[in-house]
Amino acid sequence: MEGTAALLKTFDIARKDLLRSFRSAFLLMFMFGIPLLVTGMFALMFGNLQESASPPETADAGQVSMEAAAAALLDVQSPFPERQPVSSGNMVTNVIGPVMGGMLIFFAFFTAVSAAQTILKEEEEGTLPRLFTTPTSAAAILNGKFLAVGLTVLVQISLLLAASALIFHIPWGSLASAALTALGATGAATGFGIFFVSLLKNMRQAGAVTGGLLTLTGMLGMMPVFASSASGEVSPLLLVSRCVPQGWAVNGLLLGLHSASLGEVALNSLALLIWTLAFLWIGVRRFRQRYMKG
Amino acid sequence: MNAIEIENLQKSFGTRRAVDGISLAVRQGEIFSLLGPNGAGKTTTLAMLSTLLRPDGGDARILGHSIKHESAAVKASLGVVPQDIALYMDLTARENLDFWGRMYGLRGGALRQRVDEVLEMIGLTERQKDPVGKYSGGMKRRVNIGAALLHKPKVIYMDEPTVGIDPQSRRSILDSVVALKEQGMTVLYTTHYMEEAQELSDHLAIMDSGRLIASGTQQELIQLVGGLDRIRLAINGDVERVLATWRTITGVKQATVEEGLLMLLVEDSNQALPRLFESAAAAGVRITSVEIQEPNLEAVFLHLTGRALRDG
Ligand SMILES: Nc1ncnc2c1ncn2[C@@H]1O[C@H](COP(=O)(O)OP(=O)(O)OP(=O)(O)O)[C@@H](O)[C@H]1O
Ligand SMILES: [Mg+2]
Repeated sequence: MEGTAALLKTFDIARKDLLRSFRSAFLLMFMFGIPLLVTGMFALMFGNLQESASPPETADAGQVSMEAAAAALLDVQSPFPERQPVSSGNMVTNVIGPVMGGMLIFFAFFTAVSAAQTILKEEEEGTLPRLFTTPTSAAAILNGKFLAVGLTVLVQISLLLAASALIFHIPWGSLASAALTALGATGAATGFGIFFVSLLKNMRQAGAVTGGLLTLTGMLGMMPVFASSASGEVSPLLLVSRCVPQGWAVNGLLLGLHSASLGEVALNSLALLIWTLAFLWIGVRRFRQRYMKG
Repeated sequence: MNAIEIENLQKSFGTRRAVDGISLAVRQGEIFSLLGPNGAGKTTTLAMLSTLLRPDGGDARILGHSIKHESAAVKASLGVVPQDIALYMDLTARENLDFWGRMYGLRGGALRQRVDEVLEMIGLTERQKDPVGKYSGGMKRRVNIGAALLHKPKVIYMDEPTVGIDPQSRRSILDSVVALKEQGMTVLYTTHYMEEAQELSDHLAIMDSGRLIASGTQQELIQLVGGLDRIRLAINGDVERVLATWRTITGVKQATVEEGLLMLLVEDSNQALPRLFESAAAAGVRITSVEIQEPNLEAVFLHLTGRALRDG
């Protein structure tokens, strides 16, 4: 009885948070509008929106970096002459897909942090203390807030994957591999958000450091988008990207894009799971210490 | 029986003793006001009584449950109206009430019905679908109160629920506090408005700098300043002669002259005034102005602290 009541309240708190997030025009623009718009701009810039509408037949064809694509577009002597010219198929898998993937992960982490920051916001606005005066356990309240972060990011990632597959015809791989990466990325972003916000004192501090940290780690994580190597050799940029969870999440999407085996994708998601657990272990504990002393 | 029993409750922030050992009892079904200036420690006291803050010393029992050892039972019997509005501004009044009702364990049809009733009670049925952020200050205050009433708590704390609102909204809030008492709830009400404490309370306590400096019924507190009415009169005639006669009138305790006006302390101005007029007429003197001042809590606070309530 007690347990069920607490669980129901946890869901109620999460539902309330989702309602608030998905009602905010600003957040929606941030979560969905910007990543799709940026990708759309790339698609237009490369002038291939129309042609790429036909399903890509040569997903496995020589992988071309963004640099090469840009060079081809600008009709400049390519620094990688051995590479094939860009065709509509590999334009999607080599340019538009990676850009979309990078944007998606970049903004998913923003979403996670901003959703987790509602804990601090609610504390300052008095609704969190008020929650603590109701017969709802601190654990149920925190779990509700955490669950909301995860669900918000899951909705964002799933919708962005589906929308970009529809609009830009990006082949994210099999449903199973896309789902594995979506779940792994959701976990890592959620864990990161909870972990990071658990280190913050208040919203003032959050305002001062959040943008910078997210941009820095997000950019590092996006490195593979700009550096997918044709020769298969591991570029140092790729290694750097693996120092942040965003890098692994982006990698998962790129694997799907390049039709990697389910095993490879699963292995990458396992790494994401490890990031998730490590972040949650610290973040959840810190929040519990903060609000469950008594 | 007592709904709330506080024993030597203490809380310090650093070296500042916000609540410095207060003890009091609130009877079941009454409105008890905690009257005190800014920084007196009212909110800190309520925070401890609602288990948000752990006391440094002392304890309190809410309907028999210790705030230290039985916080779950305490929370279940409580409704708390925080001093600062604590609502989701981007959600509608109905969504807010629905959410807070769920946090008090209500669900389904019972919840829906209670939300309807509370919306009716706070007069916001018409505007229930507007986001709370778009409401006026008074309307927000009403939702802030409504959110604490959904589960029909036996004991309700209201922390300065009328601060910063228009007279009309204040009237409606004060009326609803009385209505809650009539429904059998025990209300612990904090305020720094003397008039509110005077109007509402069955019992009240005056708090200053973390301590209770007096408590009891209004009459009892007013006895502290002697319980005498003060009358100020102006006359055209010989002040000294009139003064000598008036000192002999029954019920007049003291008669002096201050800045040309006659100052009288009387037991009951209703009984004394006719006699004063009679005696003035007999002496051929006209009374040209009269001002009566009944003793109030302001006077009590001034008497006990040497400061006015308002300038804290
Ligand atoms: N969290 C806190 N940290 C430090 N000091 C605090 C804290 N909360 C309250 N105080 C201090 O404790 C004292 C009592 O504050 P409290 O808020 O209880 O007063 P109050 O009677 O509710 O005043 P008001 O009428 O202004 O609401 C004040 O001196 C205040 O500065
Ligand atoms: Mg206060």
